[in-house]
Amino acid sequence: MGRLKLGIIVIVGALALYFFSGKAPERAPKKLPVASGRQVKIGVIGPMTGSEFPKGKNGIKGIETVLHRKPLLNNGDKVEIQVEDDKGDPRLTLFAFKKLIQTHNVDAVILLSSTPSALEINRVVDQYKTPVLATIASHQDIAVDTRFMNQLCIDNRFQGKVAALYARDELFITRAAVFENPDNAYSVSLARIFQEQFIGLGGRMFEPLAFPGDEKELRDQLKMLKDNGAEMLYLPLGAPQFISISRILSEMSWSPVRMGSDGLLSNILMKHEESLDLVNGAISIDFYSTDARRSYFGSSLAKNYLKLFSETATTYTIAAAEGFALILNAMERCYHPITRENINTQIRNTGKFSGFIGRVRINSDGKSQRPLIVNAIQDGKLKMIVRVH
Amino acid sequence: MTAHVNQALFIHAEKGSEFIQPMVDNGHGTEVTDLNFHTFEQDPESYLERFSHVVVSGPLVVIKQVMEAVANHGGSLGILPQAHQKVLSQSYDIPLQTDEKIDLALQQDHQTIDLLYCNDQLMLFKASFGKVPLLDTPVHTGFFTRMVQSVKRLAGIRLFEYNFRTGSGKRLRTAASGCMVVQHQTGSLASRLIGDDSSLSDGMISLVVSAPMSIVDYLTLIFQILIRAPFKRRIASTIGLIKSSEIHIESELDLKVRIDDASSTARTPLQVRLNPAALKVNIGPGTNHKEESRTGKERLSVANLPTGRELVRARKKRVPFFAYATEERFKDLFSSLYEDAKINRIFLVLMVLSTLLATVGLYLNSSSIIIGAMLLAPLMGPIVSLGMGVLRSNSRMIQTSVIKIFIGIILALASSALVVHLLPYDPVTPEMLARVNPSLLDLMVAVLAGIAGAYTKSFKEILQSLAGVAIAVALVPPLSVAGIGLGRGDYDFFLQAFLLFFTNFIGIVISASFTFRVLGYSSAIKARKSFALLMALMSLTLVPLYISYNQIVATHHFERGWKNERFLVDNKYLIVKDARLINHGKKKIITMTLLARDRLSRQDLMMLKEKIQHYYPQKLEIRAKINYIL
Repeated sequence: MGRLKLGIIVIVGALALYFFSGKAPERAPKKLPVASGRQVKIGVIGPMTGSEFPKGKNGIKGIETVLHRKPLLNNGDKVEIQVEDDKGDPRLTLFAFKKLIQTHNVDAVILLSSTPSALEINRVVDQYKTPVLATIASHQDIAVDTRFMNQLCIDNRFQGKVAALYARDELFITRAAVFENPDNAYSVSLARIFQEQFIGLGGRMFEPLAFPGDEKELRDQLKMLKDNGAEMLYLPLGAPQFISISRILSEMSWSPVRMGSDGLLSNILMKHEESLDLVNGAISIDFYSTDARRSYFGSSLAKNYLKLFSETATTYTIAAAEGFALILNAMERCYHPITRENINTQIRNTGKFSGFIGRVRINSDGKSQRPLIVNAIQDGKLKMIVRVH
Repeated sequence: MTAHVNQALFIHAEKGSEFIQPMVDNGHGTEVTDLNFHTFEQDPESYLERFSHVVVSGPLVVIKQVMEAVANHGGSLGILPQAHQKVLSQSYDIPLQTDEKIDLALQQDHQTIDLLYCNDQLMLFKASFGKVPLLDTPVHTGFFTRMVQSVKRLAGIRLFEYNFRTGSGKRLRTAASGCMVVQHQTGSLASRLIGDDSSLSDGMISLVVSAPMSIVDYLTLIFQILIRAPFKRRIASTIGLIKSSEIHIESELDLKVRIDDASSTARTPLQVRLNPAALKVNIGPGTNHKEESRTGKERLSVANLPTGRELVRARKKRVPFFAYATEERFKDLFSSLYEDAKINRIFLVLMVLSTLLATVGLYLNSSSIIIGAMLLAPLMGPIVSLGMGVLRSNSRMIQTSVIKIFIGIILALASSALVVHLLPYDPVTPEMLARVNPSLLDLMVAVLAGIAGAYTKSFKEILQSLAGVAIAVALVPPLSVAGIGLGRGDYDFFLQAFLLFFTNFIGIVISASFTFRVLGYSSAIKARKSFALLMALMSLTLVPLYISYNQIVATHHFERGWKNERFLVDNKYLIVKDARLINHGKKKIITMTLLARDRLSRQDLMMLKEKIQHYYPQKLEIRAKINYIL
């Protein structure tokens, strides 16, 4: 009986181990490359100080996480980064860009700043013949008519259109209003694209409303919208403005559909966490979602990030990590020598790069092709509603 | 207003002297004389002559000595338990607050209680010997430690012979793991066994005899005690209860008797006697003290204890984990299972009829006809018999049931294959498809049905439930589908459906064996080779079932995930309303319904295909149905 029992236990145990053990990793760990003695240098520009510092600080953590995983390219070249703070000011961005190329002789630049900074570099990038990858700037003009500017983030045109299509075809909204920040090109462009698309779909729009400095005026604007039957507010605004509107709506006991744009929740989590309750239930369009299934890259990045920093990652962290990994990937695909020109060519030839939650493609025009996600904000998390390819 | 005594002697040990001052300063007008126990011990009579009421405080040994002295002299007694003497306080319902304790101890209202002696040693709460896990653990032990100790002691428990003789001369010879003499002890686990039936003054000794016939039985008893399940008039199935004015106990082994949580000890043989109405004592109102309960009626609730042949069978053996079934149940079941294993004309007719009915039902895609066929099908009986045959290594039962099952399978396959040739068309209905993709879930159904089948078979009173089991496990329809596959020459179809039948067959045999084992029809699985073969077959079956199960789960996730996907193709927004994934050989086909506002050109569709293939690495054949939003 002893042998029989043992036999049964061994069979059942082996089967249990086989069936219930975790899945084998999608990729076997690769052999570590041997250092070649050479190095590649990547410049990082972002707001490390100033009001937009979370974008830079969080972005750097993402880059450090990737660097921790991959300190050497496959050919053994050491990867180094050179960080420049632009304080979120486009003029300083340009200054930092020139410094990185002329003084530090970087092979590529990753830009963590937003649209105004990216548009500033967009003007001059081709003169310096150095590839730049903007990670969070989403303006539609970025990478247009340039050879060296590349955009990782979803394009405003795509985002604005999807916002209008989702509102019209899935939420069945017929009357919508849009608020814009006239001083911000990103906000204005998204507002315009939404307006144009929504009307094109047969929806009715109020005249675009500039977000006022005065709360009373804002209150009047919202009251007017309520009285005139607005069903939805499209709000491509910063976190403070979105929160102000949400607070007044709550006071008015009016709950139209509120839709924000990419990075909204990250900003709220970093700078206005106390107002998180006010944005519960709002819709936010982003390239990221808390509950979307992660790729192998996404899972291992998240694990490494937690090991290094023990805090929640934001979309800025993820965007920077993805962008940095994409540049390294492009460098590894370069035929010798790894020149700026070659790197740029390979960035624009990225076909099946595995991003955080799915594949990312950079087209030959420097624009990215990636899905965006319509999320519901719930308790500080982005809950996926639909993913648009 | 309660009256208090005028005078009292306060006897205390060193531990207990904390009550001297409060006693002297009592607010009840009682004149208290304090006295050290050692002084009292030297000449108890002279003190008891002077004081008719005594109050005592100190260790249990001191209290017992004073109790005996007061009982012999005929005085009355108050007790002041110390803070740690919780059992004492609980047993006599003495308050915890010092003022209240003193108030009770000095009252004139005394109750008369019995005193119990084990081999002439006074016992206040309980005395135990042998093994009565959990119940005999000292009460001051922590709950968790008590549980761990009890389970440890339970593991090696054996029954030994005991002989009991009551006050009226009745004798009992039985086997038990241990015994416990219980004085009424409010709130203790042991007292929950004897319930309200005993009191401090009922003139009876309560003896609990523990004779678990299985570990499971005993665990059940402990569980019942812990959840305070009411025993009321009946007593738990693993114990016996003897109530008598005197009990003499002899044990096969020389055993140590722990009296009052080992405050004193004795050895077997044990003479337990009672000194009725021996002591007037001040006890609280919560104590189960009933003068009217002094019935003096002897009682032996020993039907659950093994005697005669059962005693011989149980004696000295380690208590099994599961109980053995009774001989009567054993005989009934065996004769019924032998009948089920025998092949006869009724089986052959029903087998053919049920298969034909199932095949026609499958062709018509009619679930009601198929259920009818399931109810007619006579296959469950021999399969359950095979389970018992394997358990008991009964080669006759194994042989006859295997032959019967084999003939049943051949008949079913042949009958359904024949129907295929008679019918002019070859449909593949959803009812057929439902039986060609077995997974782990089907094995789960088979295992549960096997348990239910064996259980139902074991108890005549629930035999009618066997029909439900037959429907749940559905043995004949998969055989019919396999026969259809054979008839059409589609061996993939045949193999898939036969795998489902085989899964059901193996699952039922194994789980029926285990169920019969748990129900006590055998001490072990005896046909080891047969059982090992069955386990090996089940292990092999698990592989395709697991793959199939994984596919089902993956398909479910895939289809659910697709409902959240949208595509923007040439500025046209496409909403995926639903999607189904079909595995066609190595190819995966996705059929989906799309909602679109604008007309889609061929180029748009190609772009959609390219996007799908870009984001989904699996190669997919795409079929789309487009509904337009107007």
